[in-house]
Amino acid sequence: MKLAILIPAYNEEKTLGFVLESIPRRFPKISQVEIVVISDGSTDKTTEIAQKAGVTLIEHDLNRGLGGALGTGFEYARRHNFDVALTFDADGQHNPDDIWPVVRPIVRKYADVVVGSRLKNHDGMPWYRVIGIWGLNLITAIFFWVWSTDSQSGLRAFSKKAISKIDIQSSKMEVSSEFFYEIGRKNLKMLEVPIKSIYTDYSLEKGQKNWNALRIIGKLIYRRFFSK
Amino acid sequence: MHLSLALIKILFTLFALFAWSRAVIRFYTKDLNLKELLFWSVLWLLMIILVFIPGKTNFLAKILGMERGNDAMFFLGIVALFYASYRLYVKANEQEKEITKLVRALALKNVIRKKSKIKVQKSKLKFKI
Repeated sequence: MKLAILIPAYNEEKTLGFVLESIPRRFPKISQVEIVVISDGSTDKTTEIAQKAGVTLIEHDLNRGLGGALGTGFEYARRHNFDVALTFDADGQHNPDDIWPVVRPIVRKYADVVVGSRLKNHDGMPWYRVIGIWGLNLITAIFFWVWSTDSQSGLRAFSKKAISKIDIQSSKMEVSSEFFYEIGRKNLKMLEVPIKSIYTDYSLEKGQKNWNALRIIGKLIYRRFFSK
Repeated sequence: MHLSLALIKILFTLFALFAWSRAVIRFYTKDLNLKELLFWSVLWLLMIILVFIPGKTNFLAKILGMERGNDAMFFLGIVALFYASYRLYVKANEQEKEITKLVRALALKNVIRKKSKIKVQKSKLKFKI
């Protein structure tokens, strides 16, 4: 089985090297692991760090946002026939030890999509983040009829079927909710596993702000009712 | 006729003529085709006529169930603006998507590919949870 670890990165020079170094390269039943950094128009040393680390590098000439970068990663995984794709944040908020628990249900064919949920056990998460994520969970459920305890999680795994069926159209942060739209309408089997987030001042600064929710709602309405 | 009312009519006419002249210029620079020029010419001419001939909009008001022609014009104006902003929103979004597709296509042409050789390597870094 071939696993692609997709890491969208926009100006992440402070954390990317550390993140790349910490990701394990070997998993049970996985014969090939390819770490793919999608530098989304970064203007700092992100691309150099990725090149030095010896991982696959895809470079956007312009900054398109999280959705744009993940869409590129998915297209890459489709073209190169990967069996499993994992999305992993570059800001250092994910624990590499959580990769296998998220990938395992795909390898064992229990699910098409596995979401690493930070809210199954949200100790250590700032209260305002918990409220913000719950709000977006509700909005995702209202628009797309799929309930997730962490609709905004960046750690997710996808089977080959999911990789081929999911069509990402969003360019920015709203992509996290769009995944659930695709899961719902393409009848993909979803599972959630608890993960632990590492909150640092840096990852909090980089993450989504609650006021961003309004913009996301606007985009989701567009995606749900107007988009081609 | 009241002076301020006359003034607003003159100002509106000047604005309409200015807007129409922009359409003509854009026709000559080939940014507009003949159809579009005709559309804008008729629209602005109609606006001037409606402003100068009182009572011309009353039939519109009757159709819409309003008392005054002015109200009907305001109502239609707001509807037109809403539609225009909706069209712009859709266009902007679709163009965003097109740009993303273009950036993606370019990026995927120049991938620096490195397959990880499988080797056992445990993380030396400890995470604080």
